[in-house]
Amino acid sequence: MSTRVIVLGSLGGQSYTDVSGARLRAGTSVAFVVDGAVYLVDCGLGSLARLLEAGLTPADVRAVLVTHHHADHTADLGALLVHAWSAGRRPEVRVHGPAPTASWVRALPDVHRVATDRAVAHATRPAFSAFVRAEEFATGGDAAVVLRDDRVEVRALTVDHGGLPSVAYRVRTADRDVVLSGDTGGKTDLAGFAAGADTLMHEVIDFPLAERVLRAQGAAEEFIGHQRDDHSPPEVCGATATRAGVRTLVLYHLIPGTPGVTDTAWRAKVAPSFAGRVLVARDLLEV
Amino acid sequence: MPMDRRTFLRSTAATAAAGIAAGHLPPPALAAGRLRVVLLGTLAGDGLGGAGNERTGTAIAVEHGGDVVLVGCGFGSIRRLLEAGIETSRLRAALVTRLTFDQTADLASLAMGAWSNGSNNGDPASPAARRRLPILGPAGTQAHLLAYARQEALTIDDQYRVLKQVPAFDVFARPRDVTASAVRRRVLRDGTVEVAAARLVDPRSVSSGVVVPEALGYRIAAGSSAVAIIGPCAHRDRAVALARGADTVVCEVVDVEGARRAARALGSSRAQIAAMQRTWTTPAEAADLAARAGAGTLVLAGLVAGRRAGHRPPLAPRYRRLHRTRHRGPGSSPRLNVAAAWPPPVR
Ligand SMILES: [Zn+2]
Ligand SMILES: [Zn+2]
Repeated sequence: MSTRVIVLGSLGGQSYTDVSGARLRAGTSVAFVVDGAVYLVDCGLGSLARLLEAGLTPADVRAVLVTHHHADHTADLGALLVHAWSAGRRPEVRVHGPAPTASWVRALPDVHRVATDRAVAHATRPAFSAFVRAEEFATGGDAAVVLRDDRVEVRALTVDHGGLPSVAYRVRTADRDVVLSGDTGGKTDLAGFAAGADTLMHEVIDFPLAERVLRAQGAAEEFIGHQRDDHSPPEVCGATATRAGVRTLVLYHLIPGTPGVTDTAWRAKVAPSFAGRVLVARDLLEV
Repeated sequence: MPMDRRTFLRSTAATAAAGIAAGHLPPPALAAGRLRVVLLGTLAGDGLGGAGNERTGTAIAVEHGGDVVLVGCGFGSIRRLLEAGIETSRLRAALVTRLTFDQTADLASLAMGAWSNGSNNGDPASPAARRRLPILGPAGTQAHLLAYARQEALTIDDQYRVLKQVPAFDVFARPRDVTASAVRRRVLRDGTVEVAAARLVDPRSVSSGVVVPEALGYRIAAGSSAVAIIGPCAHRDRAVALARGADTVVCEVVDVEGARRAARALGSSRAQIAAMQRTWTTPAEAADLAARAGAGTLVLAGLVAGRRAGHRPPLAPRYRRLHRTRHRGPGSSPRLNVAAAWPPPVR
């Protein structure tokens, strides 16, 4: 059994412009392909198209793990689920995540009622409302197992990311052990949670650059503060990776994702704090 | 060495500095007077075309100057919109012809994405606070967006209250059910662009007992130029009336053989398939429709049962053949464009 870890979308944030890098990068999403079954961590804008480009289909998706409910992590989730259902996937898909995952899933059939009613009328299919199962877990607890089946074991750690409940995930398979930070600010220490993993995928922001763009756009102090306090600068990513002792650090959820900030530039920002292998995520990169 | 799309994406990202320039391949735009039509997504139907498919759900951008009207918002539409260099701030309206996945999968996320995009100034008096996105579709469109707003209530509240987005989401996104009659009627005017709609449900489908979604056709006009966009289950006479005098008719057509195969694979019964088939617009019927409307150009889009990119070569010639079979005589047939996948494969 071998695991493939594929970045489907590498962009962070909800600015969909050339300056943010949205022209080249889909929103945050990482696929774990384990023995033909797909486990997705987040499902940002455009990641469904990338899933197909990666040679996978929504019908392959067993479970989705949502780190938190900012739209740059969930924009394609509804589309993924209706298309998985429409493709005749059985059994249901599970959506794991912190609040409001349960109410989000409960509301889903209402959003797509007209389209799913029509589809049911045209083919023998179970009701859409029974197709998605919410597996909401409480935040606050540490490193609890939130998903365990014959292929993966996933633990979640609550992280600090402003207003919405947010978690980091540690995904273990027979041959991989990967930690994904989700969105997290400097108040969370992920090093203990990530200790012994082979790879740490950490969100990253070039805050000075982001701040310049935001100020030019006239953004409110509250929003600029959210970018500063609730996201991680490169030196935090590097220091966390060093203390966790991982071999590989993957920078993902790039803010900004513009080609103006090259891979070399990102690596240079991490180099003083981490001596291991550094990958800068891009769409369809396998890590 | 042949380069597939995946390799292309990897190498594009690898040479990130040149990325914007390299990614700036011109979309296969079809000139229609001063209106520019960009086929963002050309795959219709409930399916996704399988792994490796490069067509995304139906989406057509009609551009006039800097303004863009989007028709259809299937999966991947926003990705393609951005790849085509159209930022959401240029959208004047989003229209859907029917409430099926291939038209709506990305619609709610479009509302959210366009709302979130660069408007966090918290100032109700700023120009950003005056932004609006009309979202028009058949009955049920408003309910779709309202249900989405309830589903995302916590996120929307966080963005509005904490992250200072302006205006409020429900002020920005303006869903409206178009309960148009069979006769075309103006439903929107923004600057120089006018949108008219007509109800195009085929009475044959209603009598057959199939659940056929309420379907609208749109006519987008600016100056003396007009483009008509006709869904795949259209009442032919009504569609002709809507399209009359348009330079270009974009018509969603069904590859009957492929669609039957797809329906069988999904477990549809023989009776269900037969009933559905009666409602489908074939390429030949589309050609007839465009000729009767006097359109200069017919575009076959929204390819139901659209194939994987690798299977595209057989598809276009087949449609061309069907089209020619129906219109052999000189002068009777409009120029034909068969929708290509966007972006085009890199050779
Ligand atoms: Zn994020
Ligand atoms: Zn976030």
